[in-house]
Amino acid sequence: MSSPEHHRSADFGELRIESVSKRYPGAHRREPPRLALESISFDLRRGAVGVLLGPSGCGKSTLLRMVAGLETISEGRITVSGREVTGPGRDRGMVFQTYTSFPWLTVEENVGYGLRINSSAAGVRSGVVDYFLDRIGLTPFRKAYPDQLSGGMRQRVAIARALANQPDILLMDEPFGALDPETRWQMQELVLGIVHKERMTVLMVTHDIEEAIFMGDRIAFFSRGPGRLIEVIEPTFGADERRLDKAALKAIPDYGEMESRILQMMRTEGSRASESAV
Amino acid sequence: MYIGRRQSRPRAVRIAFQRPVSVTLRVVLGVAAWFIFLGIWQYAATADLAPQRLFPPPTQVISALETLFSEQNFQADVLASLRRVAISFALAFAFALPLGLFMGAFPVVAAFFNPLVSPFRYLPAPAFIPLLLMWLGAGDTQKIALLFLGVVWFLVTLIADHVRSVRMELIETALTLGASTRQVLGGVVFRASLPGLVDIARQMLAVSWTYLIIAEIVAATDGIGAMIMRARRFVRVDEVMAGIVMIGILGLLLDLLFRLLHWKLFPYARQRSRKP
Ligand SMILES: Nc1ncnc2c1ncn2[C@@H]1O[C@H](COP(=O)(O)OP(=O)(O)OP(=O)(O)O)[C@@H](O)[C@H]1O
Ligand SMILES: [Mg+2]
Repeated sequence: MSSPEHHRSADFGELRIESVSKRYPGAHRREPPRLALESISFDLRRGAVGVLLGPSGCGKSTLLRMVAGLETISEGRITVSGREVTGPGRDRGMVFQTYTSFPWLTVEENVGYGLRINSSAAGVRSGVVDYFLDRIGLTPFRKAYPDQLSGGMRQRVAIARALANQPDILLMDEPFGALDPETRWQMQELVLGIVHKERMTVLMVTHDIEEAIFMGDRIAFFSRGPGRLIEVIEPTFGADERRLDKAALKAIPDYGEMESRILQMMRTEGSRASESAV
Repeated sequence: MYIGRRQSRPRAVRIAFQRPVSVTLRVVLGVAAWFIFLGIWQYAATADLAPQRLFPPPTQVISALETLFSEQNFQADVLASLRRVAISFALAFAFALPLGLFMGAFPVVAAFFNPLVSPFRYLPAPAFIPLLLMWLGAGDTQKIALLFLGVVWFLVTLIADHVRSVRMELIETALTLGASTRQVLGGVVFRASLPGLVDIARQMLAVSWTYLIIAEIVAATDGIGAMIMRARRFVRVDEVMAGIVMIGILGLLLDLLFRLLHWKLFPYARQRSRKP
């Protein structure tokens, strides 16, 4: 599907979301369709990390699933590497919030699954699998089954599986939501490290402001009812400064300012949404 | 003192919700249950509550089973019964598997077949015996057909329900990794359902055994059911009971065989109890 010359094309790894809307059918027949997302436009250049942030129910997962091709697009269009999204494909890897390791495959078979079904040569495959197992620190567990792993380890397997398949863009829906703060922090650094090395584009959903600022080059802030993109925030302090460690990040003066600003937006949205919900 | 008791020490009590039982204890309890059952039976039979001829003790049933094998070629009957169950069940499973798989995986297919399959489940298979006798005669074909009808619709429904319960995230993950429809169906949906399919086969095989006796009682010259009917004519209660015991033993062995199969084939499902 992704041919070698494709990797050299100018718009490789670019995400374009152009005036995309999403209507879900009403709960029953007489109810009109509900507008979940209204005219969203958002771009990411290759190697950038985009973060979708906003109150619950504003359509973050819906947008991510539309980019993955798992949800139909009601209006507008989405392109990845210049190709229009019409369905799921290996150029857009997805990491879900819930555990999605295949329980019948060992850790290494899980990581190599994408390469196997896309019939990569066994030699290439084992090289790539070894590399990513090493990066996620699960080499000693390569023969284990997912059920024998902790939650954090299983999520690492899911991320490695998506990365090993070498997608143009990595999509993640609250990938660290179920993890404890310490593991969460480690995973954020791990993913950023790998993603920078591979210059991979990332679009992710989170509820965590700190995570958004730490990881995001562009933060898309959504409001609810219907979901609208109300602001794109680009952290003013450079990527390298931000991605040191937790303490260093918090010491940067701009960080506190940005955090309280986003928190304020969240508060406003939250109260507005709860009013309109009644 | 009251508070002291509530701050519980580790309890020695074995009867607690969901508390696992050690293997040793399980074997001891299982054997004990059998000893008590056989003891009560032996006592009741020898206590002259009923004529021995109509209610023989377990010892007599076991010796009747021995003579059946050594003098009346009972093994031929057992083999004939096993053959009928094996053939009919293999046919039913081979028919139900693709149908159930497609119905479970694709709601469109289910929408087409469900209205057809569901009512059939409510038709008792023995009701078809007169028809089958007229169409297929009294031979093996008719018996195998009855056994087939007895399980096939349940198999279809159980398989479809089980396949439908495969988590959508697993399917979507495979799709975003570039899997084709065929790869998702075979490599994910079928593969994820496989341990459950073995369980379904094990449970429905037990149902197949119950129909076997019905099939063999109707018109048969060989088979465990036929032997039981023969023994009844001569009021050989011990042989009737020996036949029933034989069915129980065979059922138990098959059950164990399927459990062993499950254990061997699905190493990853062994520590299932460990996680949600
Ligand atoms: N399959 C569906 N059918 C109908 N409505 C849906 C469906 N999926 C989502 N919705 C609706 O679309 C809106 C957005 O849902 P979505 O799951 O994208 O929100 P979210 O921003 O990811 O929320 P959260 O932060 O809680 O995960 C919600 O109002 C939801 O009820
Ligand atoms: Mg969501």
